[in-house]
Amino acid sequence: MSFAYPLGLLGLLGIPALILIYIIKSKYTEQVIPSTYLWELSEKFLKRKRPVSKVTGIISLILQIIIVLAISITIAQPSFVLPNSAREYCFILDGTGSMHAETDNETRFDRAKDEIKSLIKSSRSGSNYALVFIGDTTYSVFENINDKKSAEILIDDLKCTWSNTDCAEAVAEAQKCFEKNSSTKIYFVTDKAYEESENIEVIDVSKNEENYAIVNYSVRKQFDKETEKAGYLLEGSLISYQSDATLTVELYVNGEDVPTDSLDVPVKKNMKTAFSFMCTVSEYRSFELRIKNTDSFMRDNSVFFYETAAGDELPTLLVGDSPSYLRYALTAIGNTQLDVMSTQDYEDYYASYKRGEADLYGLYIFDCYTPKELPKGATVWLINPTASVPKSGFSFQKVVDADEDKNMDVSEDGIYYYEASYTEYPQNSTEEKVFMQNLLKQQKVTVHKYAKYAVGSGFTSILELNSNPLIFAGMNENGDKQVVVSFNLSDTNFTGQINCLILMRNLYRYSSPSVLDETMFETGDTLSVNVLHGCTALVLRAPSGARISLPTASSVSETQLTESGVYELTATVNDKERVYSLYAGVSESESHSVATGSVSVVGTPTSEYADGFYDDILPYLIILAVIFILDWGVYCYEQYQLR
Amino acid sequence: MAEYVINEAFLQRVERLQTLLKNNIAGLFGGNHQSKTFGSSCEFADYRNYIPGDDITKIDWNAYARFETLYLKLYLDERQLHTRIYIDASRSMDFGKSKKGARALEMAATFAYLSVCELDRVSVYTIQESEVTTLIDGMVGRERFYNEIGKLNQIQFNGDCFISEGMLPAKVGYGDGLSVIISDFLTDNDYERAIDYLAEKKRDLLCVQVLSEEELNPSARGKNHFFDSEHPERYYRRNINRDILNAYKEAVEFVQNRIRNYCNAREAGYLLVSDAQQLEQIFFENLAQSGVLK
Repeated sequence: MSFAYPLGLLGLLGIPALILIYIIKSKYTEQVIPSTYLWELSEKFLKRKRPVSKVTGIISLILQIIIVLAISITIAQPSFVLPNSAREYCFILDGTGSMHAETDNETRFDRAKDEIKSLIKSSRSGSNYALVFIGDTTYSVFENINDKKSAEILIDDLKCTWSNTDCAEAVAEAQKCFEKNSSTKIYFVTDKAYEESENIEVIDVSKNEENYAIVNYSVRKQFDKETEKAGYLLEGSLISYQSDATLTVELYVNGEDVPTDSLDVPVKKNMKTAFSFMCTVSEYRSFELRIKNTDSFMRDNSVFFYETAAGDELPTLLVGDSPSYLRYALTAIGNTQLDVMSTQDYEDYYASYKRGEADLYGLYIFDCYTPKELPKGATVWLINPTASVPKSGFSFQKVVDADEDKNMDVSEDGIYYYEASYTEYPQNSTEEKVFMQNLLKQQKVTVHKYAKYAVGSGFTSILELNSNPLIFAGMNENGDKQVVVSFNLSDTNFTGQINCLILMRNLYRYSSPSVLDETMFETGDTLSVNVLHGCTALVLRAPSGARISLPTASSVSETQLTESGVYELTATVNDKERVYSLYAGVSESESHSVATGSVSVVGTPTSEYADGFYDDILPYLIILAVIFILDWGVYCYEQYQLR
Repeated sequence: MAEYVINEAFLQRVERLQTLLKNNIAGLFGGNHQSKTFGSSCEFADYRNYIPGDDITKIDWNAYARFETLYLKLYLDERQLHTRIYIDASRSMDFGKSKKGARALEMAATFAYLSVCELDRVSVYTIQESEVTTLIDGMVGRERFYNEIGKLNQIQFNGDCFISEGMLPAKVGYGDGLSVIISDFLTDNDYERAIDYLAEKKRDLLCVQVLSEEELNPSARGKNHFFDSEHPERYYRRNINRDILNAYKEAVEFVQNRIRNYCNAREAGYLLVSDAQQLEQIFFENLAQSGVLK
């Protein structure tokens, strides 16, 4: 037996003090009576039924000693060593989306936590506990904890996530525990139908609850032949995982409270049954497909479609004396606010703008024209500038002409050219996503003549020739976006390639990006938010109400969607707030507890246990104290009150 | 005694008691003390045939005239009885707050008065250790009663009391009246032989056991160390609880039954008196119920 606070035993000094008091204090009342004959005779009639009655004379002393003893021991917190009784426990807790399924106001996750707490509570004190949590990420919540209460508190703090179950990493963590101690008992508490192995015991907390879901959903534009109107076709499949059912699916348009349409669909167990709605509206803000029937897991009963947030079209000014290709190309990629101006007119316009008599455009494209200064506060495209421009971030060096290069080969049509290549970036890099998206990099770009610049470090090269950037983009010294093309579009084969339009579209999106490229996600996906020019804040409100601030320093801000449901993104651009909605659905694997094989760790289990201890004696002490106090009360009653 | 138990107020109470008893009860053990033999009193008893030598003055001549046979008239013989009262004068009878001694003296005086009123002779004795001491001898008549009954106040309660050892050598009379022993009988000492002895002597016997209320219903609780007033070496030290109290009551009952049964077996009377009882209550209720008074 050991004590957590041995100083508490100092209270035992009260016992000799108590005995001393009892010795000093004479408790017997002496008196002379006429005759002791009757009292002595009464001894013959005394029923000697209780041996304990022999100590009744000192019962109050005994009682008080016991109380002092109990208090001292309780303060000292004793623990009794129980050899070879304590184990190592490793719990794997599934905190993924399907664990939200609820029955009788209790989720599977709650049941799972209760199961683990119950196992911890029933285990021998002195055991060590480890917990691996499978959530948005798999991590060890605690390990080598032997305090049951601390473990329970940490378990209570865990929140269920909406991610997909992937137990491989958790099993690897359990493997580490097992390798440290091969007698470790591993429990996997989940709602999935994993098969048990020798070393891992699976605790299934699912109750085969009723669950329906909408899967394989989509929306697309469609021409309705019946009404001869264009509209949207919403398609999906219904599934009932537990039993056959007739499900009512409803369509809600633009967040209205009343469904626009509904269908009753008989569904066989575990059989996907397709359904569709045709909604003849020219445009929409949102569609919602909702299963009217209630079940244990409601989150997969609704699906939301939000219109992709359109990018703000930039008022564009194209400056050049013959910019016909650019004008058509810009129109082709969707720019409808395009003004074209000759170089002479531009100088007049710019003078007016400087006087405050003209408005600023969002995008200026200078085709083979080098302005004396850059308009501040607007995106600038410079096509083949032949001089340095203040605050442009680069400086003009020289013009390189293939005709003057004696080393150049002659082309088939008799023209000399250089062959440029696209700059290589890692596959998922921001540069790749922003500038190189959908480019056919194997297409060769030939350039007859180009300008050579000394480019600052803040620019991203897109097309280059012998390490000289031919097309590059970035921020100029005014803090505005800037795209530079170092050759005349007429001196290259680039304009004849599909890549030219693709790159222009990418550059235009870079100059005027839409905030969201898509609005339909699955939990666990990464959301990419385009940071618009002038955007000072991006706040994402999760379905749970949590607010996440996204960084606005880079052109693209990313975050992982860890919850399921409707998110709301608020972008503050030029001091104006713009609100966008997006939806993250539950993955199909989380809707249903499908059989997912077995889980196991490598190794042979042993039974080498550590010494445990027992220290939960407080309730027994309290019970004893109560019993003795009651007995003492009875004793006092007999001693002094009975008549 | 700290104060005179037998005083004027008490004697007035006894007189009133006697008057009440006279009007309602025949007397002690049948009163009038009629002998079972025929004698020379005025009270007619029976006839018998005349036998030569009989007193011819007792012949009923009226009967002879009618039946021409001589019949002799018989009359009951009437004698003066001697009431002997024995008082236990041990220390236990009058120690501490106990009023047993006072009650014993009152009982003795009352019995004496009742006997005097019946024209009997009364003697009062004390028993202390093994000695019977005569306090009042052959008292007859009320006048003498009033003169001598005050001697009871002189009794000093002290020492032990061996009733049998005291009475057996003493003169107790033979068939001539009532013997009353007043004691607490709280002793293992032999008192049975005294009862047997008196029975052999054809004495009517009444044993009056006087106990204090504290002895009948003790109030002691908890830890007590009792010393015996008669024997300082004897003590009783216990933590008195409910079990002990129950045992004590059984002991009290045992003591009462033991002496009562012994008396009943020898046609002797038994009376339990508590020091808390009133004299009138004792004589009207207890004595009547026990058959001592009729």
